[in-house]
Amino acid sequence: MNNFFRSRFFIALIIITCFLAGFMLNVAIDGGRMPHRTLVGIITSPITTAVTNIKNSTATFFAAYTNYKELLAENEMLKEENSNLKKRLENSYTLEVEIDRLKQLTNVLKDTEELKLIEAQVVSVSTDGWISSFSINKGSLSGIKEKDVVIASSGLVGKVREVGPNWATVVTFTDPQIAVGAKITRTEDTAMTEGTVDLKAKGLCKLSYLNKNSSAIRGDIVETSGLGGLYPAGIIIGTIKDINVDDNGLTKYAVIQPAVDFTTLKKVYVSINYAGEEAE
Amino acid sequence: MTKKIFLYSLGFLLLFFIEAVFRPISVFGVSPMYVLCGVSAMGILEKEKFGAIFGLIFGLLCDFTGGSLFGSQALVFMITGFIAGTLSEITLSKSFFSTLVITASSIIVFGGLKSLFYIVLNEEEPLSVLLYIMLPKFLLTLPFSVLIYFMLKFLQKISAPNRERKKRKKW
Repeated sequence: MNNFFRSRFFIALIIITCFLAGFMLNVAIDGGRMPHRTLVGIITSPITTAVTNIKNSTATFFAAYTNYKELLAENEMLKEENSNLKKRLENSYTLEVEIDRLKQLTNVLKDTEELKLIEAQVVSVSTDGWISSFSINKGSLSGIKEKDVVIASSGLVGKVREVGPNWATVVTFTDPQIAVGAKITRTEDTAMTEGTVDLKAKGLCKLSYLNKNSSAIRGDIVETSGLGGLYPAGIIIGTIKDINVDDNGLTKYAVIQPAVDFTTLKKVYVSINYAGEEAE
Repeated sequence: MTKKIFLYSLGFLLLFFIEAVFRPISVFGVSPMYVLCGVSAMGILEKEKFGAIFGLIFGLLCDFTGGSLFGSQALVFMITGFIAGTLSEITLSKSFFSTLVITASSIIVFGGLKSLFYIVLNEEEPLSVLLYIMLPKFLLTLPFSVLIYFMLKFLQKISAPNRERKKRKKW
């Protein structure tokens, strides 16, 4: 046994442990970079992307056969929805023209810079179960930076936590480490979304610091307020599922059903030019 | 030896992809720790060197998926593989039960430590952390540690048939 503790393997193991612990301490204390993190990411990202593509195409292939009846019904429903939308589009076109005319006339609404979005694929989900995060197959080579806002077609997803040349990790806004300045669209009440362990487990999150006199009700849409400068205003976060008064009796809190279904998320869009993100 | 390492690597890659990409089972957003089970079984079956090395490599891969602190899973898996291998030489038998014990202990010890940090840093309720993270992780992982032990044992068997065949022919 004494020989074992003097063996090269054991010494190598101790050195690796010290290195890993040192790197982790460095990151934990002052957010330092980890060179091996980037290296592992560069090698792994293309492989996980390929495997994810295989997984998605296989799932789509089998779904086409197993859900045939559902697809037919969905097709009929979409046809009807399409015709309704066409009618609404015709109406909205005239409204759009009117809005443009009013904008030019009054100059009340400032031109907001359009978000430049980079499409990325979700390639793997965090395996440790503690943080609600996932990896995407685009990184700094595509212009993605840390703290960039990530959205999906249905709403807000979260923000970029780490970036490598061809990969990035994204933390979802339902994670307890993330807080987002929010606003209820109908009432314009401002609040803040926060993740908690129990709600995260159910795929929900909390809307805190809501005014006690708020008239928010179930089903109200919650969007980003733009306050705090980290997230642009107007991105849909989700809908209110439940409202309660806080224990202190001074504020209310709501439970939000996120607009994005994180369990089926395949594609996301990273905003790479949002100027407000330096505010943190 | 090369064949054995190749087969084990394929087996571990499969476990990694099941855990990070396919995720067939997930309760409260927590899925079983297939790779940890593999590392424990590897330590039991192939001693501490294999356990530690596979733990380190595949722990780093798991860390890439965006866990809490990069390197933490690599460290935990490496230590688990090493301890499993060392204990299998001293006290534990080479059976699925030993893998079960090592996997359970690893989740309790390292998960417990992580829970403490998590509770302190995020000001979370200990009961929520226990109910929604630790307990599902523990209960979901343990049955798989038995399955994965037998999978690796099978790989061990098929990776060394030539030598056995030659021995049989000589006799």
